[in-house]
Parts: sequence; C-alpha cells; structure tokens
Amino acid sequence: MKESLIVLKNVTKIYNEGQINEVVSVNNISLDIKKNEMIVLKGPSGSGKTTLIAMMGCLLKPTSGDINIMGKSISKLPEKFMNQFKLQYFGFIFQNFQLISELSVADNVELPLYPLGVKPAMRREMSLKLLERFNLKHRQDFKIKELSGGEQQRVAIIRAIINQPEILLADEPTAHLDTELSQSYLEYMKVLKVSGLSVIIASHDPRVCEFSEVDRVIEIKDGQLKL
Amino acid sequence: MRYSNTIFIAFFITFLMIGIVYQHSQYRIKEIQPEIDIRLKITKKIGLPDLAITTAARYLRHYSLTDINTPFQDYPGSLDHFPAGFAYSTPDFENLPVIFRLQRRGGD
Amino acid sequence: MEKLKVNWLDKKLNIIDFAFQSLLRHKTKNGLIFLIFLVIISIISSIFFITGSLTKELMSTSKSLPDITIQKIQGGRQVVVEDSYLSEIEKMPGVETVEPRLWGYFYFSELKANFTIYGLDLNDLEADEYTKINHQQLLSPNPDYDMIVGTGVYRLLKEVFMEQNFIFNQSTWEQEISCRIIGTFKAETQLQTNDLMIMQAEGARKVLEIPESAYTDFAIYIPNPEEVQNIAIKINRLFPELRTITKKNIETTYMSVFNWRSGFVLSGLLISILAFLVLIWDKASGLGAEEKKEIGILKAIGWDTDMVLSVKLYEGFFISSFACFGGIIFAYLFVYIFNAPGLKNVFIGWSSVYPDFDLIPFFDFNYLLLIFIFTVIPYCTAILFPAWKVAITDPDVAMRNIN
Repeated sequence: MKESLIVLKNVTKIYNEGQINEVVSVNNISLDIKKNEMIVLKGPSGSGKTTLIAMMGCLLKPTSGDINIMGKSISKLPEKFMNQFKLQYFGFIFQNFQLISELSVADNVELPLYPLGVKPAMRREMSLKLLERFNLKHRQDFKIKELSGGEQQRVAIIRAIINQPEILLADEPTAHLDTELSQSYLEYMKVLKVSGLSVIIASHDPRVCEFSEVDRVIEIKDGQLKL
Repeated sequence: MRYSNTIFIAFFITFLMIGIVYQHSQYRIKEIQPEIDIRLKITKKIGLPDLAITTAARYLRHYSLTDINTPFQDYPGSLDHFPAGFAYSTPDFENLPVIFRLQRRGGD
Repeated sequence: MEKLKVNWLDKKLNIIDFAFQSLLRHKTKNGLIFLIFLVIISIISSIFFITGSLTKELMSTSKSLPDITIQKIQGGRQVVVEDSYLSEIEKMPGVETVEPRLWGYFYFSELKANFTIYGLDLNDLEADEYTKINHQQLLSPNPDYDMIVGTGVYRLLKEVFMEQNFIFNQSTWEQEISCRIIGTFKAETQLQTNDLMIMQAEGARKVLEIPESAYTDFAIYIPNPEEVQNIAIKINRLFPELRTITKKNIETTYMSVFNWRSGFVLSGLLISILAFLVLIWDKASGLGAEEKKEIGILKAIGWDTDMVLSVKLYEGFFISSFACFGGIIFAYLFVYIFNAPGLKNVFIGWSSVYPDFDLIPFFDFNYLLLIFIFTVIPYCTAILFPAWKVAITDPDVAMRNIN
C-alpha cells in the first residue's frame, strides 16, 4: 500500500467568521492522499476546491481541523515556517500561469529559489537544466510577453518544479487553454508523475477528469465531499 | 558579477569618497590656519566686525553694527533694496537702547 | 530527493540581488527619481556648506573683536559720539582701554563703489600685514593722507588709473583731498580688508567730515570676560543714549545671519521640501497594477511577507541613500573645489568691490546624519507603506486576485 502523503482530518474553512458576510467554503472534509498519486478535485466554481487545494499547498490555514503533510502537522505552523515548508515540498501552477511579464524566462523560473538561499550560479544551472529538458533553453533571455501560450505553459511548469518538490498542485490548469495545449499539459503531468511527483489538480474540465493517468477523482460540492 | 556585489562595491566607493572629502576638508582647514592667524592680527588692530563680502550697502557690510533704521529704510518690509539682502536675515537688535519697560494689561 | 538547504546569508544576498535587478528593470523611471533626489540634496547641502563656511569665517576672527562697541543713537539712527564720554567710561573699574575710532563709508559714485574708510596710525601696521607699493615720487606729500587699501579697492582703482593716488571729492567740499596709496593688504586678509581704505586719523576725519571732538564709535577692551555684561549694563544706565554692542551680541548675530529666516536659505529649503513632497506623494499614493501583480505572484509562489517588503525597502534604500551621499559629495565639490559659481554671487549682490574668497570647508558628520534621516527614512516609509498593504494579503487571495 502506498504511503500517505497528505491527510486532512475534519478540515473546515470559514471566511469572515462571525460577520454578516460569513462564508463556509470548506465544510468538514477528510481526505487521505497517497504518495505518487494523481488526484483530481472536481467541482463547479465556488465549490471550495480552490480553497481546499490552497490549504493543502500551505497557502492558507484551515479554520478548524488538521492537515498532515508527510507526517508533519502544518495547521498550526507560523507563516515563516509554512513558507519554508511550502518552498521545499510544493510546486504550484496557477490559472493563467501568473508569470512576471517584465522578467525573462530564466528569471521567472528561478524565483522560487531566491528564498531558499540558492546562489546565482547554482540557480542558473538548475534553471538551464530544466529549460533544456522542456526545450526552452533557446528562449531563456526572452521576456514572458514575447512567448507563445504553449511556451508560457512550460515556463509555469518549470517554475513549479525547480525547487524539486514532492507535490505538484495545479488550479484549473486548462481553464484558458485550447485542446492541443490542454493535451500537452496533461502529458507533462504524466511525465512528472512518472518521475516520482504526486500531482493534485483542481479542475472541472472533463478532459482532465478523464485523463488516463488520474488515480482518483474526488468530487466536491458546496464545500463538502460528494460521495 | 552578482548584483549584491555591485551594490556593496558602490557603497564602499561612496563611503571612501566621503572619507576623502572629509580628509580634504581637514587638510584645507589646516592649510588655512596661517591665513586665519594673520586675519586675527588685522582684526585686533582694526576691530571692525563682519566680512567684506557684500559692500553694496552699509547695513550689509557692517551687519552686526548697523542701526535699526538703515536696513528697514522706510518701512519694515523694505529690506531688499540690494539683492544681497536676500541672503542675510535681519540682525539681532537686542542691544538697542531701552527707554522704558512697558506694562501690559492683564499682567506681564 | 535531497532537499535544498536554506542558507540565511545567501537568502539575504538574493533579496538584494532581486531588489537591484528590480530597479534596473525600470531604469528610466528610477534613474529620474534618483536624479531629482540628487539635485534636491545637492541644493540643500550646497546652501548648508556655504552658509556654514561663512559663519565659520565670521567666527574665526571674532575673538579679536573689542569686548564692547559703543555707538550713539539719535532718532533711531547712529550719530557721532562726543569725546566727553571717554573719561567717564575709562574710569569704570574693569575697563582696560577705550579706543575712540574714526571710520565710515565713502561712496565713489563714478565707479558705484562703497569703500570703508578707517583712521589708523599706519605705523601700527606690521610689515607682514600689507604689501608696500613703490612710488616714483621721492618727496612724500602730506603723510596724513597716505593710504593702505584692500586688494579689491586697488583692483577697482587700477581700472581708472587711480591706483597710485586717489582723489576724494564731495560736491559740498571746497577742495578735493588727494591721497597717496602706499600699500595694499595681503590677499589672505581679503575677507576683512577688501573694501578698506586705511589712513591716518586726521585724513580720515577730513574725508568722513567728522567734527573735531567726536568719533564714530568707541572700542572698549575688558580683560575679564565675566565683567563685560555688567559694564555694558552700567554704561546703558549711565548713558541711555549710548548703544552697547558686546562681543557676544556680535557672535549671536554671526550665528543667526544665515539661519532659516534668510531669504536665500528659506527659498532653497522651500523648493527642496516641495520637490521632495511631490516625490513622496507619488510613491505613497500607491503601487501600479503591475507592481501589485508582481507582489501577488511572489507571495503565491512562496516568498514570505518579510522578503517581499525587504525587496521594496532595499529598492527605496538604494535610491535614496546613494542620492543622499552623492548629493552631499557633489555639493562639497561644487562649493569647495569649484568655489560655488553662481551661488556665491547671491551673497555678493551688486557690490563693485567684492573679494575672491576660498571658503573654509565646513563638513559636519552630524549634518550628514540629519540629511540621511530626513531623506532616506521618509522615502523608504513612503515606498513600504503601499507595498505593505499588498504584501500582507494571504497568498491564496493573492493567487486568486492576481488578475
């Protein structure tokens, strides 16, 4: 049996608790995600899947409940430690990629390495290695705004894995992509899973849910697991 | 070269220049000392204060000895009959003869 | 997989790297801000250096001045003081000497120049205090009318061929007075002597039209400095028509002559403050959309609030501190190496007789600190505040709202 990677126990997230505009985004969810799994969190907009994935990725603290990642409880960690932990174990791919358009490809890709205290020479070495692997080495000095959609997609993926994470999280990765790009994206995810990463994708795109490499599809509705 | 190294070097050069500037000032002060000694001798003989920088008007030339009427001319606002008056603020007129002390209503 | 170990020092250096790189990304904008800053600080520093130097010049010879100077005031104006006061003041305990002085001004309308005439026994001057001028005449005319003049006077008179003999004349005089110029004061004493014409007392009295038993003022010398104030008060009480100016009064005037009330200093400060406020307002009024997005992305990918704010702080710090130090250095060079061209003329005005003077350097580390505190700190605060508002957002919110 595979090792547990992320264990959520009765996790709840309430925004604006006690106020008029109180919103229960995630309601008492318990989950057990194993190592090297590819999981899809499926649900419509507002279902709480983005909040859930953010909590799993140490971007957000739960209101109640416990989140355990690789045996460590992270729910009560202060921001600084959460960040360090996140940087060492997680990679995140955002909707619309969220690259800094003024920076070059190499500079964008190296951003997660700054807080880890990686020296410039080492940073450059690591980034070039990955850029080469994803066939972008010749574009290393180009500004993001000069790249095509597919190239930007690859840059976003490289940025997410440059810090050698264990877990890759992606939020609606195919939301603004055409079929071809969506397919190539899923192929990259497959490659990463094969290389040992665990992949968690939040999406309501049927192409993602029905992807062959997906181990489990977890449905979420109104902040709760749909069983 | 790393950017942070560039910054450190720039700071180093800046502080070095400040050090040089300071040393220069100290050197010039020492260099001027004999001149100041001669000036002290002359001032002792003549005893007139103030510097002969602007001689356009007597209230600007012998600034600390001027009487109250001269800089104010016809009215207090009329200070700058001469452009150099712009650079100097009004002298201290504390030492003019006091005829009598006023008593104010409602105590002192 | 081996985890990357976090090196604290390298992390800090990375932040500095990123901050500098950030500045370079907007070279034009940041370059302009730096330049404006530099100019503002140069202006303020130049004003400070010049006025500081002039005050230092004034104070450098103040200890040789008379302890009390006595003037007679009539109708708010200074008039000649009669010699009858001399004996009374001489008698006062504590007074060492009372020197009656004859001095005043002569306006030479042809050259629009104002000279200070001073009556002094020329034999009292030592050889090293002035340069003798050789004259072709062997017979000396009346020595009462021999003069030693300042270099500024000499330079001016040379232009009109009067450097050997100067002729005093007023429309009310029956006869002109011809004075032979026998020497010039040394260049080192320019600041004190530049406009001076020193002649024997008799000659000065005639030129200044001061009656026989009167003088311009008295210079009183008192060996015990503690007694100066008492003696001044005593004189005031005995002779209320006399004005006593103590050495301390003169020094107080010296210290305050270039303070913020001087129009020159005030206008320089106002312009600089205004420009500075505009700069700060621009910074504090908020970040652009691009900058906000950038901070959001950095937070989302794992940069903590500290790091993001550090970057902004360093950006502000680098620009402001280099501008601050650079401005001070530039001002120093401008004032003390290039002799403040243009700026010095503000102090000279329309004078026809003005000295060529090199300013005594006035470099105060307290001032450096003050300028640093009043420029770098407000600027960095103005940069940090809008950045802080964005940087404290939760990363997930930042992640969602980046668009």
